[in-house]
Amino acid sequence: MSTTTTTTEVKPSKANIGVYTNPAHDLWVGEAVPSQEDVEKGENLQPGEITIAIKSTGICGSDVHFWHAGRIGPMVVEDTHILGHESAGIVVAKHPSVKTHEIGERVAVEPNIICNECEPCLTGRYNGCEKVAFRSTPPIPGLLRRYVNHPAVWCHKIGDMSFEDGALLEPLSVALAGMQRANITLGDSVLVCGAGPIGLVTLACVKAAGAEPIVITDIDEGRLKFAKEFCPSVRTLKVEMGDSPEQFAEKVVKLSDGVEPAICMECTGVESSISGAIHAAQFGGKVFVIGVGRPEIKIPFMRLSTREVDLQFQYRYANTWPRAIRLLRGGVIDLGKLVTHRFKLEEAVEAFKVAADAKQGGIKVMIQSMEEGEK
Amino acid sequence: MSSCTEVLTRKPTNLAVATNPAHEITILESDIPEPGPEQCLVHVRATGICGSDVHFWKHGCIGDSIITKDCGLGHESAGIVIKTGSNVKKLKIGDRVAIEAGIPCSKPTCDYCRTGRYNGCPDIIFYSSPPVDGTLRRYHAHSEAWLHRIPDNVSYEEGALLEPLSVALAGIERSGLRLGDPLVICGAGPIGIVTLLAAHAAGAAPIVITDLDEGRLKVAKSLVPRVRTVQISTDKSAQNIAEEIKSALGQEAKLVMECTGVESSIHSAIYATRFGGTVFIIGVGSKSMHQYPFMHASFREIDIRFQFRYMETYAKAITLVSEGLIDLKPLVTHRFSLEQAQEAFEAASTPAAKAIKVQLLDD
Repeated sequence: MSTTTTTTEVKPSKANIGVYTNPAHDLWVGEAVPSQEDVEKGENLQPGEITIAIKSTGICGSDVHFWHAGRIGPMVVEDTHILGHESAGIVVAKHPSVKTHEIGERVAVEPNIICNECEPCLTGRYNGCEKVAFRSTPPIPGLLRRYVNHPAVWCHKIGDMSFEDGALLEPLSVALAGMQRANITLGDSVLVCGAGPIGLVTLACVKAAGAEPIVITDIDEGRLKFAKEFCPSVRTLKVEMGDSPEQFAEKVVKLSDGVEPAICMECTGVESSISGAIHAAQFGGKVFVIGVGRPEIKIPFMRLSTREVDLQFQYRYANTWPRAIRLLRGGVIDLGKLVTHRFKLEEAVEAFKVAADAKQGGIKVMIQSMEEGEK
Repeated sequence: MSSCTEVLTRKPTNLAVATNPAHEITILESDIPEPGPEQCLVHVRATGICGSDVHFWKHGCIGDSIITKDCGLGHESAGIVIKTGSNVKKLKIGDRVAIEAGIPCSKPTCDYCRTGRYNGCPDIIFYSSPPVDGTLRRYHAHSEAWLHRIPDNVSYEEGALLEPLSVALAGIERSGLRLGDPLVICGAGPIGIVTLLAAHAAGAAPIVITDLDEGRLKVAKSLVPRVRTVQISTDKSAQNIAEEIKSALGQEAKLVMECTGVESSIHSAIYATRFGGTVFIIGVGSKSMHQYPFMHASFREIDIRFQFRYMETYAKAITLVSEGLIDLKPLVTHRFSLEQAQEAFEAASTPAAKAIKVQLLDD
């Protein structure tokens, strides 16, 4: 139901600012496009585009990594670059060609702009699009701005869902994409490696899917405590750094009442954790790696071979927003507790410092550009 | 066909080919075994030598399986039933059979057997996996349930080749290969070759096969003329080799059946694969740990999957051979008697011999 609420600001009243990094690893808030004037007049929009006033954006580990390290694999920060790709907001302008969206509608942004012509696009796996423009992957400017122009087709309507929940649809999409390909079903025994944001969102998903038992691991006691509060039925395992993969596996299986996990959702990308998951998995099981990590890893080949364990990987997502929206709106999954810190867009540098500092205990740090009373 | 039992009189000594911790090939004599109530005594007429048999001989171990004393080799066998145990219900003297060398426990309490993954049964008795003696012998008693009748138009040599064919079929079945799918096969050894024959019968197209050895690629081409061959040179990078593979295939690979188990070959396979494709590894390598290009596989959502032995493949393998869809006859390049075991194993382990499948025959 589309309503114009009196508290929601649809007229652009502030200058557009964005959160920038550069090859020198600086981080600052500065002027951004589209300008406030362009937004007011609805000018400089491409056919099919709308302007969104971004209300909430979550910080992702990749944003922090682009700032600190300046690259992820072949994606390199070569110039000033705007970060952020987990956003929701409100439509404040649209190109005349857009018939599907109205000013004032609340939307979540799917950051990929695909070509629709390559084989991955044509076969429904558009996360593999050969020519994708992905917001926040250099050189494509990200969503951490007050106003962003984006194709309407990639702006999903969220109705009365909060903007924060709308922003959480992106990490939820990562977990959902992994879950669907991993084929987790009711009653499966599941191991989740890593209790960071992705591990926790994955935990929520596998729990909702009826996995039992579920074990979650982490090196950090604090994160495991958070996981237990977030999902009381989960079994937590603190990883001891000196343990061999075999010892890790033994502990996981013991904690699961002797049941080897059918599926291991590996959300750290760390070599020792992946090896441990491989040893824990049942014969014919799956280790599904959502985490990213080093370019090369060493893995126990003979173990994989003699146990017929599938090793699979997840890269972004495809066709997940509608499902994610249904799950959050229907209350099947509740990710609200994951937002631990909130900052204004103007305070983004502070937000990033908190996100990057493990001691702060941040899970999802949200950057907001909202008026009084807006959610 | 009681004429098949006359061998018991003609050859009253059992001969078994074994290896030992001193890395010798020995021929051990023993009495002819009595079949148990549910077993049949088989006069083994043909046994193929597998790479694992050679490996046990030369290296004394594969992973945690170690040769600590005399251990009979061989698990690719076919023969004729010459005696039946008191409870044997289906098989009769004179039945020609292929021997399935892995006998799982089949108990309801076994998760693997109960869920149809008997190749993973932790209590499996696999003949030739130490300390269980293999089937490379003249007389072998085997559980009736794990002997498969072969029709008259399937020879003993082909019957013995049903085992490596089973490995290929198990991999192909789980890989999801379909009619019209492009396919890359790494390795043109016995497993690569049977995989090629099966994939050809399954309608994979186009098919590329790789190998270090030009001779092996020629054999592949002679068996399946439409296959595209790529000779691997070890001084090229995995990425360069991947380009050659893609060029020969005319596209990025959708499925790679990796039949070498060699790390560098697996790297090339990963680099040659398209987004969302699969590298399916049948080969067992010599290293227990591998290093893989993780972020490349991650960005490309490449599935890396593995095959361990086989389950419920014999009926299918027999049908495919008997119906003429797969012709295994050309694969046997060397034939020896049991008494010639030393020469047989040397032929199987010396590249200059240019062997595909070496078999030991006993009449």
